[in-house]
Amino acid sequence: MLQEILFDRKPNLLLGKMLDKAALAQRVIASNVANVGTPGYERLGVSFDEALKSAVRADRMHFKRTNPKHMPDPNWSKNIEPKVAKVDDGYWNGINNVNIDREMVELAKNQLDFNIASKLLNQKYSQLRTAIRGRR
Amino acid sequence: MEFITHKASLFRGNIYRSIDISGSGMTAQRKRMDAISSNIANVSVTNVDGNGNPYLRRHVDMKPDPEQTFSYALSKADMKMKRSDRWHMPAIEEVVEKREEIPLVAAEETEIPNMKKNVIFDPSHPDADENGYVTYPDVNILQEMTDLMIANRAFEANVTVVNAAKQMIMKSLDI
Repeated sequence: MLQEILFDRKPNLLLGKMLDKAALAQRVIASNVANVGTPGYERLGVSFDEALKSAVRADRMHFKRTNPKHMPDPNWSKNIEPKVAKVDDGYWNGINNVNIDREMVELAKNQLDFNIASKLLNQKYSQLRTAIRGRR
Repeated sequence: MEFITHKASLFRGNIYRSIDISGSGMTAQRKRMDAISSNIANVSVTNVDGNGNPYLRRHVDMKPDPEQTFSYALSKADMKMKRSDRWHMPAIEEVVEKREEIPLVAAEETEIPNMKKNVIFDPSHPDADENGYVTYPDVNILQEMTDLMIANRAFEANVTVVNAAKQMIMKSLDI
């Protein structure tokens, strides 16, 4: 049981992926904003939610680990990778398809994603720290 | 473990919907600003196409984004059976009605045909007609200025909504 709590890395891993995605999306948004006046530039977007959703769904369908001595699935997190792709939402700013308002909104949402994930991860680790040290 | 994976799938659920809606509103107001600045810049353009036709005033129409209500439209188009008798089952349309999402806003630029002829007698003007009259665009600068103020304030309102939504989500993290 203790092993399960301490060393089951799934939630931490998910939150870590969330942070990875936020860092990547930050760079993608910065690239879009920097290229708002570049002719021929095509807007980039990050797709992550679909990969996360299908990974969680696939995890539910597989065999359950009912005993800590069962082997954990080593490939579990392989498919949860954020992907960068050209995303065109039909907007035209006169030079390329970057919509500055949309980028600002995506920036705000990405910051919130980062805050949520880092907050949850922080709580997770502080629980662990409390369990190790005891309250003083 | 189950709890946290559930939370992760909630991330992109509906909590960012209001931010997305306000973003579409900001884009719409920006389009409106473009139309207004075009109207003001072209206020004395008397010959657009070489045939002596004046500039036509641009207006931006706002409507709920059709893309966002696509599933609604599809489900409605899917149901081919008409309710031609009052004994037919009525419940289906009510169910469909409830599935409609809160829509984003879409802005579309249209040209307004000249309502009144804005003519000035000026025979020396190259675009004057055979009687010496020049047709100017039907653009009212005062109207454009008030539209500009409305677009400006509406944009600010959308920004305020985004900030409020952001603060709400951040506050919920403090629980």
